[in-house]
Amino acid sequence: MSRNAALAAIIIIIIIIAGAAWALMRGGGGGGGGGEQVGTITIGMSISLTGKFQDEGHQALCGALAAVNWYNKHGGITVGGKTYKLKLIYYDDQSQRDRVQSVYTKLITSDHAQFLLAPYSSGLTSAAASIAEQYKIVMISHGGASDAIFEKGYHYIVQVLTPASKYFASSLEIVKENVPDAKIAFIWESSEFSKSVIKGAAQKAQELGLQVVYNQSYPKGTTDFTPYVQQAMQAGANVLIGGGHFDDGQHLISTAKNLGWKLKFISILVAPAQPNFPDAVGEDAAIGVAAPAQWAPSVNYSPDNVPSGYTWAGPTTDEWLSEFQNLTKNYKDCQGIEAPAYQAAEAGASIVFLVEAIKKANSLDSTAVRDAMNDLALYTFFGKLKIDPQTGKQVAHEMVVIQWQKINGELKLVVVYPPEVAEAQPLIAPPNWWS
Amino acid sequence: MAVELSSQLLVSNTLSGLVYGLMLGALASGLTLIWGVMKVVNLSHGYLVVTGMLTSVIFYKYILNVSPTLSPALAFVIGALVGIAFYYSSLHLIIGKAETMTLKIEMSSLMSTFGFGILILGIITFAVNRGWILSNEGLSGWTLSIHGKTYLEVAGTHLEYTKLLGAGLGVVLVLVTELFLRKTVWGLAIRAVAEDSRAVALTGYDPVKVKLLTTIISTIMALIAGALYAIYLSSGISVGLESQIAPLSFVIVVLGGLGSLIGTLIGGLIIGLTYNITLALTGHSEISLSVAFAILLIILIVRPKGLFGR
Repeated sequence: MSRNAALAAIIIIIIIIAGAAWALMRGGGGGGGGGEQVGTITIGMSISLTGKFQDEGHQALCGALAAVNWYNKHGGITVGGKTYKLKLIYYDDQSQRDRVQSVYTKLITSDHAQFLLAPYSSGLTSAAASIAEQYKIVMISHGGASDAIFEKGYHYIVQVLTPASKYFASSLEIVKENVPDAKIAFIWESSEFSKSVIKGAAQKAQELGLQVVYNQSYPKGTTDFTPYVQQAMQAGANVLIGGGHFDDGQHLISTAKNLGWKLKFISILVAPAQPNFPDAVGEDAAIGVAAPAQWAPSVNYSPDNVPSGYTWAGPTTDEWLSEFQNLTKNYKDCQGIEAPAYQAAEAGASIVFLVEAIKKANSLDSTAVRDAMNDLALYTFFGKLKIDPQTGKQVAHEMVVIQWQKINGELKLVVVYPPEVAEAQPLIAPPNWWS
Repeated sequence: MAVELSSQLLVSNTLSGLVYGLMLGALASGLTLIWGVMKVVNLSHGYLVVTGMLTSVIFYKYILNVSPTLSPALAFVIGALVGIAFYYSSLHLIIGKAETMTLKIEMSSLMSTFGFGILILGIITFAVNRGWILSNEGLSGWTLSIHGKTYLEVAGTHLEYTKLLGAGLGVVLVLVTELFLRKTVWGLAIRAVAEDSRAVALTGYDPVKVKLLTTIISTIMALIAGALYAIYLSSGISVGLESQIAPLSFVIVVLGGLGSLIGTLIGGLIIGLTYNITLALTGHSEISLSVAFAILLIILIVRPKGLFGR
């Protein structure tokens, strides 16, 4: 018996080691092309191709590769009179913090990466940032929304996506413009991320002179929202802002609807952005529910609507989408992705931001490129990009607001804000919530 | 910012806490039976409840369009089948012949029920990955409305009909089972096995059959409670709910006393009411959960066997 057990243990250990070795070998891969006559700019990235962030990780990888391929097809970039092609080297971090740091050390020391893209998620980005800072190599955060990363005094870490504290800024602008008697309820999940989102929202509401009548967090895993909804109703709230993840978001909406809460505007995190949201709460509750989003495929940022003070850079939405689709057909790590999500656009935008900074600096020196970033004000397929010179935090990119609406009898998630790229007007006081 | 304390708020939260508490009690009731009677610490309880929830959704959305109000009947049938599979796959070899439950047997049943839970998780994950069901299922906004309203207004408080129905039928489930245990010979046999398995054998009842029956009943209760919880939530069913149902159920069973069905209802009420009333008084959800568990500790110090434990 015990001999059998020992044998079984040895077999299991062998299987685990073989699996780990396979994962390591599988992790390495390259994208983009490199010519003999032209130089190569090497960009390194640790990305989650397995583990809990694998979906987001694949999106981010392919979004970045699409932008890399676009630049390479358009002649690469010229620095100091010499032409360079971009090369993205990446390894799988299995969505694990401890893997991230060793991957970046390897990218810098043995692959000689000149610039870095951050991994996906705030947690992993935060783990990676200290390595980039230590080696003084520019790292662009495309999936780390947390404000905390940029409040640690790092210089080489810059952000292209909207930070958590600004998530609800656009939603509150809609409220300010459309709901004159707004009384806001913040009902939000007690997590680090939602907390910083709501802290920023409360500040924004104050700036806009909006009245907040109820502000309450709920513990992770809450399923019964009756007391929260009742309290907010009794406080007279007619605007709901908050949420956290998918499950809690849909319970919150379902209870709000069933308890007859008359709401003029609803914007909550994450849940409404998922295509199966109406499946969960039903069409009657889904219509009118909005969510902030970093990007949506239907948003039309184009060279024709560049705001003053900004210059267009990188591929147009169509060009980037077509490169993306090429990858999903032909590149092994991108096959199986149906459509690009915002995680792909964020990563694509970070390549654009990096390349434009290299051009502006006319140098491949990381410190010079980082300094050049301070002067960039770009308009890209992902929207406006501009960083705070001190912290590297994104200050210009705006969240779009997407909302479930019924258009010509079809239930759709449409972009309603900002107005210059919106597909439809925001639906205020949706009739199904007032029947 | 805490909301100003008003008597209205207190009334509202008490009423919603009452409904929530009864639902929690019903969710835990299947566990108290199998744990109290057979000393099987059933770690698959949460997954059995999720199975009941999915039964409700699958028959409503994908098969026959059965109204969720009828789903408890479906859960009864499926629960019986799952119960038989559960007993013969995970319990029979361990407890079937045992006359008294030793610590070793309890530990083994802990492992085997955990394994059964993982099996259910595997099947559900498989179905999700195959696209047969969504990872976040719901009743697609199915709701109960009476006179065009989806809520009942009591004392200035709105209570969802779906929640009242879920919790109300949950109480019925517990009471009917309690009656069965008290008034039928098989119920008596089940309670007798808890006391002395050998003595039951002497009276002519096969202890194996009694153990099988107990497992089936407790599984049926878990599935029916799940089907009712689906009505109660009327949205948002994912396997992830297991991790919230299971720990709360264990707490409620310990609070009410092992093996006491009425105890689980009272235990659920204590948790539900404490949580909601503390929320009304303090305006802090974080404190509310702590207070509920502090009360659990106090009760366990005063009555280590739980409120209705023997």
